[in-house]
Amino acid sequence: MVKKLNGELFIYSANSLLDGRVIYFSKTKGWTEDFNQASIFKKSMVLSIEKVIISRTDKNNVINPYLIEVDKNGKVIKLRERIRLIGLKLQGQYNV
Amino acid sequence: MYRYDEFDKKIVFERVKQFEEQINRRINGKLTEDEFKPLRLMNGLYLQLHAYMLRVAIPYGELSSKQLKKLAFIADKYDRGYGHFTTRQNIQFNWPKLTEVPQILNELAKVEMHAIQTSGNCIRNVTSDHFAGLLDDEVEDPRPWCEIIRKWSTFHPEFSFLPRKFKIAVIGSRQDRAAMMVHDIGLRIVKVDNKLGFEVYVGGGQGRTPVIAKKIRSFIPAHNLLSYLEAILKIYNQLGRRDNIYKARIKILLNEIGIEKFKELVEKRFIDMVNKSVMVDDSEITKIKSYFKNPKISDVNLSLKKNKNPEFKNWLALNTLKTKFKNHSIVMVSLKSKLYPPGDLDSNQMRALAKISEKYSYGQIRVTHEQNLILPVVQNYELYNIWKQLSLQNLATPNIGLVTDSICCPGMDYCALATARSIPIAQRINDHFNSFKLQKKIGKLRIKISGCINACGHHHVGNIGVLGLDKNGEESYQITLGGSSDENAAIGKIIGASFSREEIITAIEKIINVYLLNRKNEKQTFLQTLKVIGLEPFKRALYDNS
Repeated sequence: MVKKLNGELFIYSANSLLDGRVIYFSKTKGWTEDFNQASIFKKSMVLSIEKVIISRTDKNNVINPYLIEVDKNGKVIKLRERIRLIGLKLQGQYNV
Repeated sequence: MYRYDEFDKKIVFERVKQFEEQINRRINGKLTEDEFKPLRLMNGLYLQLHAYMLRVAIPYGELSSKQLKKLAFIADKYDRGYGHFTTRQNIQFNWPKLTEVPQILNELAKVEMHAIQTSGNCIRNVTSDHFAGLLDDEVEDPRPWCEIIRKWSTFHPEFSFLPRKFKIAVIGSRQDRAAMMVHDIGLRIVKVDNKLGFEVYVGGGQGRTPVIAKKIRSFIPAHNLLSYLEAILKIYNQLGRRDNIYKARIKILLNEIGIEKFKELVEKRFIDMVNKSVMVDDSEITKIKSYFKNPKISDVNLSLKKNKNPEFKNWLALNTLKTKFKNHSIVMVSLKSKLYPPGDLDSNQMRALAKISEKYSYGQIRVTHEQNLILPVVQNYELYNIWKQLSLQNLATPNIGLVTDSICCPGMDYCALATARSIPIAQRINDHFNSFKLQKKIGKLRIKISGCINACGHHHVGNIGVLGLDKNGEESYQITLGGSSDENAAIGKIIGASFSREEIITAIEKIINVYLLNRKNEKQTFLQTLKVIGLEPFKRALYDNS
């Protein structure tokens, strides 16, 4: 069930079952690690897309799909999602 | 050190097989994620922001060189070449693949390690004083009792689905070096009329409702320990709330019914059970104690040659401590260098440290809840050689107990629950206060940083606690002052409005300056000074712009 949404534009993100990596629902209606291939939805489309995604979640080896808000340029708004997108960036030797 | 018997070995290897089958069923679609999640959590496997995370137990912090080498092997083969030591004497690998987890667990089982009960609503890894068995201030070494509790609690069918997770710490001295008072149960070994037993504390914890544990019994005879623990857990299992995750810990139950009522219920249950339930018999105690005999300490009577190297002298003063064994010291290996996130150790360091421990500390290493490591027993005359070898590995930072020796959770760089980053704050503190002279001037000061209210970074009990929050999409940091996790445990008080990421280091500096300005002398600690002057001078320094 879609929670109350504040923004206008969204992307579906999840984690891959096999390695836990961050993935995005793509323009080709599959899942991709490439954020640039992620499909952007308007708020009005979310409900119908969600049905498709939820019904295919287990079949697609995808965990916990959820919506993340993006701005009109397709940029992720929340810091948490920016960190997920960029990956680990720490001072030190572990920028993996 | 603990030893697996045939039964332990069998169940751990069987558990690996069982989990492998569960993973296959999940991948084949026979289990949904909702069905699989509790199974993976029972095997210590979490899903974090970027990947899975596997939490491996290091029972009461004891690690052999063989085990450390195995952790290095796992870090290289299955992860990204490093591991992270936690505030509960565990190690976490941050990048395992689901399909490779059974292989990792199989490798761990070969060296008597596992990830069982490092997650889930069960009794977690039992923790202890990292100096257990090494100092004169103990009534008795707590490790055998940790082991007895570990054996009793592992796979205990009645306590595998508690209302919430359950943490136990055991110490053997008046001084609390294991943060016992912020555990669900804290046990302190005592002797009364020459009889061995335990003081029992219940209901401590951190998270969104921080509470210092309350004493429920001044003395429980050692033989009755497990019956008494069972009585507590049975009452908690029966009455603890399951309708609200935030109100499910035993501390909330105690708060709701009161310590006296809780005590009455436990005592009644205990009397019903005592002598019928699990008694710890002498032969079992003797057997388990024999696992923890100290190594045959060398009686070479050489003393450390005088050395004028100032860096070595700094390290010697801060990172070593005399043991109860003649001519031997404890070496504290700092995992708080400028180069790494607090508590992290890479595979090369792991292998080097394993080798150093084999040469100098009887192949023993320990993990502290303050995210450092220890070489428990080394010959004094070897300290310079040890320092040189640790220095080569960036493991000789002389900062134990100082401002840069902060505890820090993984925060939003890794953790799916976090509301802000914590590692960069610890690293900026390390940069800002990097001058050894300044650190020495400030003296002992515990800064503890958490990236969310769950408080894995123990911010509630930091002399200066830092809690990362999400304030309208921006990271913001709330400061608490006056916390402590020792025998005078206290929860820190919130000083006022939170600070932005840019402001937080300056705010910490201002707090430290108020301390330096107001302390009577260099021996007066931060907490003693705070007690004398109160919060007001700190508030004025932070918020008064007039």
